[in-house]
Amino acid sequence: MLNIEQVGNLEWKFSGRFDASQADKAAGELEKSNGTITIDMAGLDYISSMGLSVLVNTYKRVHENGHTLRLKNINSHVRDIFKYTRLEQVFEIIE
Amino acid sequence: MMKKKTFDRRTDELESVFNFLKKNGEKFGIHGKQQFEIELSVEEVFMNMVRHNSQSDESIEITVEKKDENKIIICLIDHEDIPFDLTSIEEVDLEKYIEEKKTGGLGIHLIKQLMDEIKFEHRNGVSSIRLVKHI
Repeated sequence: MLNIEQVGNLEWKFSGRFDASQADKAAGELEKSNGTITIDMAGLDYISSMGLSVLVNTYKRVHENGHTLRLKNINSHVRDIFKYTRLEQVFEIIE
Repeated sequence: MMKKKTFDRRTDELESVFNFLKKNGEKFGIHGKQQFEIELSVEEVFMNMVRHNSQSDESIEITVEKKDENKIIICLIDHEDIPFDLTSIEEVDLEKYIEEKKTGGLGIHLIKQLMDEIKFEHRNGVSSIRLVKHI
């Protein structure tokens, strides 16, 4: 289960598991905003390719208007997935 | 020792799939990063079967087995008349992928990164994907 908490106008906290069954829920939440989005992933234990797709689609949408997607506090397992897919080159990763 | 379970062909079955993998992973002494990588690879294959054989009512079978003390073998078995070989999908060109910021197609790339072996077989209307992880 993915828990999503909006903690600011353009900032969310994701925790739990971002698998295919949670993709629609996350996409629905993120599509409400347009600007540079920040997601705190400190509590996120898992992400699959469907979770990555939601993040890429969100990035594409905000990037059209000159904004970006910032991801912070990514745990090591999840960080490896960004490395293997080289998506760390697309998103702004904050240590 | 082999453990087997069948799952409905639905995205919301994933939680049961993960519970099955976790329960047996603990029995086989798998934790942390290795468990994460197995769950992710199984999700990618399972979801591929759900999407590419969506007309079928047949359930998807998953078996987990530990062999030779250091090998975990996971098999996902699906009934399909027209085989879809996930392993034959062309490797993603990541440079192009990043440049074009595509979505999708990363699943097989991740499986190949995370598993030590992946093998597809199709016999008599039954397809199986065998994943091997050295632990």
